[in-house]
Amino acid sequence: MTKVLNLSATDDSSIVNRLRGGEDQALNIVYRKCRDYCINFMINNGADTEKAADLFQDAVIVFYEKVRNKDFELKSSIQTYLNSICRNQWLTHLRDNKEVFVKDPETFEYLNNLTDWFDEYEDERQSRINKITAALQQMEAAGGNCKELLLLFFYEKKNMEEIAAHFGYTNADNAKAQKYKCQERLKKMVNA
Amino acid sequence: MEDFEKDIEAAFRQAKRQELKAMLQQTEHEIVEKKETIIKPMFRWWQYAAAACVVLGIGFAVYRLNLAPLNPYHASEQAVVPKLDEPKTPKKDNSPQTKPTENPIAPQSFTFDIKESQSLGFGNDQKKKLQGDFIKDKSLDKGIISYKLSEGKLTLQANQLPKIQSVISYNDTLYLKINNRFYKLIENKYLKRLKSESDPVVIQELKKIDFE
Repeated sequence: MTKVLNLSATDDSSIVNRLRGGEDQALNIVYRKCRDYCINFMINNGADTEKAADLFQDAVIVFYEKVRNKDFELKSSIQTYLNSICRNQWLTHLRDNKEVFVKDPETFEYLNNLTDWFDEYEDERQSRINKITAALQQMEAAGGNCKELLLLFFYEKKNMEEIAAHFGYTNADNAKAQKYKCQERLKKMVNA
Repeated sequence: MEDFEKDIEAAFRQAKRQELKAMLQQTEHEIVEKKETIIKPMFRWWQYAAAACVVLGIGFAVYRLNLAPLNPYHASEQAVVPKLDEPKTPKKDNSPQTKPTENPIAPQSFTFDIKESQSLGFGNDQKKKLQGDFIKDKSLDKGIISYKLSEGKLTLQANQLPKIQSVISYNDTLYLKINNRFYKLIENKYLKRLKSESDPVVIQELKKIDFE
């Protein structure tokens, strides 16, 4: 299958706007545009190609999540931003695998303060999340707007006015009531 | 936000991350595939090494084959090219005795003493004979050169001893008659390729002497 990318809109601001507009495919442009620099940086610092690609993919997803946040403002180029994420990702990887030993207290503190972009949850919580994921899939398969409404509220961070406009509800209160119903339905499914 | 709501948010985030990860992995796969298509060399290093060995082998074989023209069998027209399959009976009784060579391809050296002919008759003083059997000169085996003439000793080097029909002295120069051609022998200490006489006057005179 051939994917046609709009290459005329590949400058950073256009990409950010497209991602904010829900065009996830624009992320492929970011990936292709910034890949070599980030991956080569990690390879030059001891990563193998596969690990470097894996970390870069995570970095691009981090970028995506940041961009989707309305409060986020990109103050550098996408490449620079991704470089800094990759650098942190790689240092975190080295620290966690005890492949780096530092005596300098400042560096030590810096490394200790690095956090994984994708924190793993403890088993109990992850189990609850897995149940919710399964219930959301059932909800989607059953049809209706519940999953989409919850997605807009919890992931897309839309407010009730926006949700009401999206679904054609008369006002935000209706959207709020609908959201409550869907959430309760999901809770039942999870606890069933 | 209560815990359940936080879990819903985490569930959506994880699902979205998995979806994006799959999309980016596909993109990575496409990039790597494209790069491999461009960068992948047509041959690997060991294939180049094998090809180099073949080329060297062929080169060596050609080099060895190019030595062949030095061999009397492959020499130019002027060199002695004895016939291996049909040995002719010598016209005169002054041809040397021959012994079959063990290896017809390997060059051998044959050494003769050149002495006055014992035959009587006009012009016979101009004819010589080759005395004795050949002596294999191992020191000359590596060279594939035709003859040397030094202090009355003639050394021929060939894969097989050619049938020498006669040895003629004309104008203080010795000529060998082989296969009805005359080859001039020049006094020399080193092996030299036999060259047939091309001067028609000299050939005519040599034919006369040989006939007589």
